[in-house]
Amino acid sequence: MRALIIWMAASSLLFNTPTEGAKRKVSNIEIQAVVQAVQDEIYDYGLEEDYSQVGENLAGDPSKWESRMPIYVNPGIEDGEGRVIYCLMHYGEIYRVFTIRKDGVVILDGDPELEFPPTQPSLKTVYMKKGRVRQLKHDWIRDSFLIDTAPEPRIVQEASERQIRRTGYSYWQSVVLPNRARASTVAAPRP
Amino acid sequence: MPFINGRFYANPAYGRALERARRSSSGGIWTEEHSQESDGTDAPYYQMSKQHPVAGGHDAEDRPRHEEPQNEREARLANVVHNETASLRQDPNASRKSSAAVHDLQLTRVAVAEVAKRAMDAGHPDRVASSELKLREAKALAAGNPEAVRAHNASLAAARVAPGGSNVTDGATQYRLRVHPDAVSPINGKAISSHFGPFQDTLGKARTIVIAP
Repeated sequence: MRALIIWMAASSLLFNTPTEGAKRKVSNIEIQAVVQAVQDEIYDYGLEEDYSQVGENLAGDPSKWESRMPIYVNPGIEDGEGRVIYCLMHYGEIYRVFTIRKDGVVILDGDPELEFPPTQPSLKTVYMKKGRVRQLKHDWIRDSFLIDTAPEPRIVQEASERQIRRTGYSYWQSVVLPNRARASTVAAPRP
Repeated sequence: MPFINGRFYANPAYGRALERARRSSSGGIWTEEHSQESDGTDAPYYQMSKQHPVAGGHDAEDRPRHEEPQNEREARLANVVHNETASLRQDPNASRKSSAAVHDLQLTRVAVAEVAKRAMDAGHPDRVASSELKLREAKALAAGNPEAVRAHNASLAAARVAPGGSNVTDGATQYRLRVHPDAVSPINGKAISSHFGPFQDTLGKARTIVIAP
């Protein structure tokens, strides 16, 4: 009985745990982790307003826009790295590499500030052949992500905290908030 | 255009004010000495006052000095090289049997500087990374982060070598940073003429830089 339990535990580790260096299929949980990383980055960089009038509006209210956008995930993961295609406003459609850490957290390659040039592994799809992009989107797993163009502060705060846990850096906390604080100080009337 | 803390500003007063705010918000110690540094670009902006010990007990003199670019052109090229290669680290497991040159990160920076310069000189700055530093990098430089200073100094050194007539890329006009081991796929139909790496990125993933005519 004991040997059976040990064998089951060992086979579970061998066959179910994603191992680095191996080719395997992306799991649904990992796809959701990719979607979460994409959403968090958009909120952290304050790009959500650019999704207004883009994609399908789920808010059901013309004055509010909650955008549903398609995202295409490469079903294959190799050496802990995957690929995804989605629209990152205001840069446009991008082909992006991501890494799945051993703890399951997804880290997106590249940085919106560098605008995804053709020289980097993550790049705008305008630098790729149209036919290839079309084929990848056809072959890959289609999912979607939601962006609220007027999110509650709590959503942005939580996104920025997850960004810090991912990369050790939050654009929202390092740049956006200090700039807002300075702007409000300047705008405040002097006593 | 004035170059302040790794970024360019059309309005120098605005640039100085913004960089001053960045430095203070990043934990840098703001003193009159810093203020004077910001008024000119010839003083290393990261240096802390000697009257203020740096956190951790290290004196300012222990820190690497940030080299100042001599002109805007050099600064922009250095920033491109930095943006392209700052995520790369020398791979400690690189095979010693293969050519040491391809694993030399500084030589790689020179190669990137050469090709980037050709692209920029030909009027195609969009074909390479931005010539502006990310705010995060600029902030790290302004705060005197030793790793950021060393990386940018190395990029600046490469940017100085490239216009001096170096030609490690044999006149190539394209490069790509790729997920290792793809060192074969052509760039825009041009066969790869040389490659550098693999190097490790900040997540420990293998990356290769490939060069093509």
